[in-house]
Amino acid sequence: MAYNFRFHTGKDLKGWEISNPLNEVAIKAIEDPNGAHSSREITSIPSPFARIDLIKTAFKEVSNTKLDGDTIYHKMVSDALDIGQIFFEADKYSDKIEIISWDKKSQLDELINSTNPQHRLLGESLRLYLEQDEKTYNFDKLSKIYLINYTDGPEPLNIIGGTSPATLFFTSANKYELDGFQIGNDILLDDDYKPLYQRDPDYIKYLFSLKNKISSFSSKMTELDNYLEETYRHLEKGIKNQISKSNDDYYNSLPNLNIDGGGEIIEVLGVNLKKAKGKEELIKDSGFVINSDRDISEEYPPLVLPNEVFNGNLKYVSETWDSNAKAPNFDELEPSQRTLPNDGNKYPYLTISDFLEPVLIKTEFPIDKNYFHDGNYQSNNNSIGSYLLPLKPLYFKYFTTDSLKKTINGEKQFELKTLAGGYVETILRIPIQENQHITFRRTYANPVNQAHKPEYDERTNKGAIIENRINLAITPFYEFPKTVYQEYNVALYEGDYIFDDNKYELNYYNSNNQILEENQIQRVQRRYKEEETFNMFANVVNSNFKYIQLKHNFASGILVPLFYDRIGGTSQYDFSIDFGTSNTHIEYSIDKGKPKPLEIEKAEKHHIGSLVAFKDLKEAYLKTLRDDLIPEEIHSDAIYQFPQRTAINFHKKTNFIQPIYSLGNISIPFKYEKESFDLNSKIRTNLKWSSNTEENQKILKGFFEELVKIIRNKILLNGGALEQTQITWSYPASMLNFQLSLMENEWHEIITKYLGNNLSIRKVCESLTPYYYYQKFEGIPAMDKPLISIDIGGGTSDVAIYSEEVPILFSSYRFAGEAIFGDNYNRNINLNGYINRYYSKIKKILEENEQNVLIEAATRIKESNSSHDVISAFFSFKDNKGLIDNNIDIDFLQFLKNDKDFKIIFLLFYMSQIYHIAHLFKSKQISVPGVISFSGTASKLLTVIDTSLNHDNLKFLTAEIFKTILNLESRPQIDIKLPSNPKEISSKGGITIPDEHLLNTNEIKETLINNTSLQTNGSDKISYEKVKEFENETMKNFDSFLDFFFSLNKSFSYRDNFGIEKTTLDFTKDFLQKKKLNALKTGIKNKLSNISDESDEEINETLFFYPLVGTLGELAYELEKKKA
Amino acid sequence: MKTYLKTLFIFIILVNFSCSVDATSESPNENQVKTQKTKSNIKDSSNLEENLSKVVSNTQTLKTNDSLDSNLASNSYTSKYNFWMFGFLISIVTIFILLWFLIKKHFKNEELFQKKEHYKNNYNKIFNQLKSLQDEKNEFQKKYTKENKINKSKNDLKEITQTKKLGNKDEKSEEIVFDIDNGTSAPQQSIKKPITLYAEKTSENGMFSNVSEQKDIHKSIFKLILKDETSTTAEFEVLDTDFILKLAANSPDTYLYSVCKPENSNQNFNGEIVTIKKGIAHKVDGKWVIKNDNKATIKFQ
Repeated sequence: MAYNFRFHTGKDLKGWEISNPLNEVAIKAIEDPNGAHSSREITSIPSPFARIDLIKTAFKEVSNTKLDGDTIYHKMVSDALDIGQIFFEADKYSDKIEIISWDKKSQLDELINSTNPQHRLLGESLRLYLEQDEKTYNFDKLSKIYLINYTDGPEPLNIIGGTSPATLFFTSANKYELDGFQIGNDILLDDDYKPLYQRDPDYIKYLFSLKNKISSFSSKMTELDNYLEETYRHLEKGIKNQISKSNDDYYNSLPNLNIDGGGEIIEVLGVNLKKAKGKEELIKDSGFVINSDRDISEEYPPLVLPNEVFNGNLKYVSETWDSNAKAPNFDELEPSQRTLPNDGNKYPYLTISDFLEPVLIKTEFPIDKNYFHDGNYQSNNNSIGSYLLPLKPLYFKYFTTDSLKKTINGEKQFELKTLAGGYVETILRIPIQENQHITFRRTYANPVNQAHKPEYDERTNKGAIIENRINLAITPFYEFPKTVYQEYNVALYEGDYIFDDNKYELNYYNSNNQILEENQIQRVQRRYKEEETFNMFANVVNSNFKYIQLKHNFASGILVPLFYDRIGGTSQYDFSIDFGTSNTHIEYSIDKGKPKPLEIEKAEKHHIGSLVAFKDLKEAYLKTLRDDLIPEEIHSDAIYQFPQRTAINFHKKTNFIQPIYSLGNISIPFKYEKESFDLNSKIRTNLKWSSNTEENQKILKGFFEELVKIIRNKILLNGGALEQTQITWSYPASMLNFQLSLMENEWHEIITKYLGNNLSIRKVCESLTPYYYYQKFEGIPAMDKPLISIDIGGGTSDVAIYSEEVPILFSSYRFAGEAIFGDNYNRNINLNGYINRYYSKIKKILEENEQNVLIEAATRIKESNSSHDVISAFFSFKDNKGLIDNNIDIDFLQFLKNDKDFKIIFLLFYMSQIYHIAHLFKSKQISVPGVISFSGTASKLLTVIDTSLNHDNLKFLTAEIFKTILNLESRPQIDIKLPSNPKEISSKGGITIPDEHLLNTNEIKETLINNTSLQTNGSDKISYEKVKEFENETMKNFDSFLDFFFSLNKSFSYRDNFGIEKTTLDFTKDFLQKKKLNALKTGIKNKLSNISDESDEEINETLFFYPLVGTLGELAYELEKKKA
Repeated sequence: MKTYLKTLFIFIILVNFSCSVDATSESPNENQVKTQKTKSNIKDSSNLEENLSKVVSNTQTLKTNDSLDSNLASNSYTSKYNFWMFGFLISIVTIFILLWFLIKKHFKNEELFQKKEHYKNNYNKIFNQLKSLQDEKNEFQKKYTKENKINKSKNDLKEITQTKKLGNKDEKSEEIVFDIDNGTSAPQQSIKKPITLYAEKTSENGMFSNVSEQKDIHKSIFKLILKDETSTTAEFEVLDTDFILKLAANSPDTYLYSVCKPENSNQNFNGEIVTIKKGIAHKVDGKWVIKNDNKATIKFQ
């Protein structure tokens, strides 16, 4: 049987017969060998507009069967609808497509009139078909066709579809690997076909509105119309209602679709196509919207999308999140510029990499959880260090630092834990809507070795660890009230030796997550790695802050200080500051209670806080914060205590022309005389007001500021009220008025800066205050008999006489501790008898007891060539905690008490003072005193000549002197008050002195130039011009004193009572006789030199002591030499 | 050696002569004439050579007579070929054998010479080391005598010089090789190797931490020298790596003073921390402990 080579069926023809043209019935009768389920596009139709026809046919076929299906027609319909949806959501895909217009008339004419015959042929062909099929496909009403070019495709032109005059949209048969065309869970132009009724309701409404806008739609686009009718039946009632109610309104509410966002409006059969309105409002209702702790004012709060399987069944944009879908780990665009994954809408969303750092910073030692948040770190291995929080500041835009302590759905919001193999896992749980959260996990790996830079990949969520040798300290460790001047001192120590050129930076963020501006932070470097193996960067931060971001070349990490938040209160704090050249002491009382030395007690843990718990660690880069900031403890049982040496510590190369910051690049060395110093620190002692250099002024300011900061912390951390605080600062009587004025300004400025303007600030002469201590706390009045208060300091002795509880006379002279131990009159440390005798002895004791630190300290002090400093160090050993703890007794005062050779010096010292004061009494005709009280550091030297509790020897000598000078018949009863803590008495008295007694000592100052010449305030002044006139008389007075002194030995044996040998006595007598005149003259010369030869200045101190000031030091040297 | 060479030479000449005479004789007469020519050519040679000529002449005469007796004249070509080949082969083989002996002898001598030098060096080295150890032992004993304490400063100065000279060299223990001769050397277990260990910072109560054989230039502060691996006593001193010097000199309280006594202030540091007197650490319960009396004495300079 013969075989007919044709697709259709029909009458068999034999030979050349007339056949009928193919009609619809015949075409339908053609059997598709693949059936309609072929996945391959139909392409073998010889027409340039075949796709338009095929889509039309497809709509017809689908309408005639059912909307759901997987035939090639369903595919073509689905793809055509996809093209329509791409047009509708054109803005969403603007980075992937371009719309090209083809103008039927102009571009056809161009082809036809082309000089290229091929173009002409194409033009003619197109015109032929356009004219031939104009009714079938509405070509007669067609003016333009708009084509979608997929710009990310492989070819210059990758047309994926366009507008159709027959079905609104058509597709090309080209198959491209399209990326990013997705709406909800529907991937466009894929092999999963989706009917219209299952699509975005807005798109459905849009197509129905187009149907209404195109006139005679049912006749022009019959197949599509049929499809829409069929679709309508499948729609939910709500959408049906919307379609029927507001078609035109809806159409009109949509913006026109333009080429490139402007200009030419895209149309089909003269009706403008529209584009979807933004989905932002819809997305704002997504279940993945971040659930922030803070009151966020963002118009579009970001979504937080999971990067791992999420079964939360939450609405994403218009549909539920696909549980298997995963958001990217990283998006390089700013959140506001991002396109939602698995959707394509432009809307901000956040990835794991927006919250977590790629590199985790490990500290060498554990973080102190008392002071810094440790990220709820759990270690399952023997790893010693801890980790900075690998959070980015963006996290704190939405969550407070307190959130790190919270739990969410029973789990910690933030966790850090070690895994096997040295890995560390960070878990961050971000709250989203409906009480759900997104869990982000990142695993950090250790480098191959420490020398390797951290290698990470945020896209694949692989983190890396870097170890840094760092510590950070902050003082004070509380949040400042708004009423208090905010100033933190922050010190960053870094001792990396692997990446030793790593650049570190600290950024501070306030409670609004705003980075503090640079003008709020002063930065200075105090220590240098090339000198000490570690750097110290000091920051002075003038604002409260919530957290710090530490950044360096390879990583960033967050430090969240756990500031103390229960500061302030109602207690009244009174402080008395005794700033002395050698030592400074501060007393305080609470609610007018008994004064006590200023302390930072063990329980007061928020004066300073450090990142690493360093107390038990022997690492210099951890412990140095005690030197650069403040020690954790200052009290009588601790290593550091008040009174404290008046000293300051700074780097040798500090340039005082540049800014100096207390607790930044200058600090009080509390360890002075106790521990050794690094090689590049310079210690300045004996701080004085008399120097007006800029350097000295800045040093003094730094010293005062640190004291005031400690006072501030003391008040605020112990329930004190700043506005009720009283600060009394004392000054030496010898201070000149202009210096006093300068000092007053400085104190006032510093105190009000740090403590506010509402507190009470008082100044008082340090010599007046001791009496008030005795009066209030020892019950010693000055009612019936006068009371003498003698304050013996390092340089000067001040005498105040009280009668009927009021100061009536004041006198001052430079005859104090320095006269005994110092390098007066061009002497030096090698000519110091005490040091020559005791330095070796003390060092030996220290060596025998292995007190290397103190040996080191003593050695260094001795190398400073200051006798004063060495003697101060000798005295300090008695109260040294390290020595006390080890039962090592180095009591320099006791050595002196046992030293028979030097005793005569102390006897001379004491008796000459009383002798002079007795003459003052005689000159002023004041009645015999009832009590003499002593204060001041050097007053403890008086115990060298009288170790008894009742001070009987001192009493006898005093009474004998007064009896002799005042020509009394018998020795008067004079009590002696010699406290064990004489330096503290001034400060204690300063707290209790009544306001009305805060007088200027100049008002009652009198100077007994010699025993007969009294310089009285208000009377004619005796100036230094005439000072030499008093030389002879002074020398006579001094001779009288020596006669008295040596003759007293006959009635009151110095050998019996003090152990002073006759040879020593004789030697001393001869020595003084030889040296007295020269010493007097040198004393006067020095005085004139000190006052810069301002010879018209009034004589303000007695000349009586000059012979002793210039001889006692040398006498000690000679006595030592004689003994040796 | 010379005797060997001479014998070899004579043997080769003998063989060659016999071969050349046989190989080149076409007739007895001709052979005789050529022999005579040869004789005349060598008659001015030394006695040895004269004797040699006589031997050769006698041999030739004998061979000529044998040839005549054997009536070889008619078959002269075949006889000539066999003799030459025989002699040639013998000479080659002999030469190779002798060369082999010669080379063997040469290498043996060389080896013996090297061994001799090696033993000599080792002997000197060990002798010096033993002497040095003996000196150290003596000094060590001296240090603990009262007399030496009185004269401490002088000895310390001497020790500084020695320490400085050794300075960089003794970062690692010197290895003493006892491999002179397996057959003749002393038993190995009788000589113990000194061990060097490195310790990091110390605890407050004078105990070394992290003691190991590995030196970490950023952490190792002290060097411990043990007489041998079983020793529970070690001398120690401060290491002189740049990093550690900088670290320790700036913070001597932290890093040094718990096990070292300073002879001066750290402020005198000018690049060196000299261990004037080595300290002694004792191993107690696996930890290296330093008693107060055994601290090292150091000086900053």
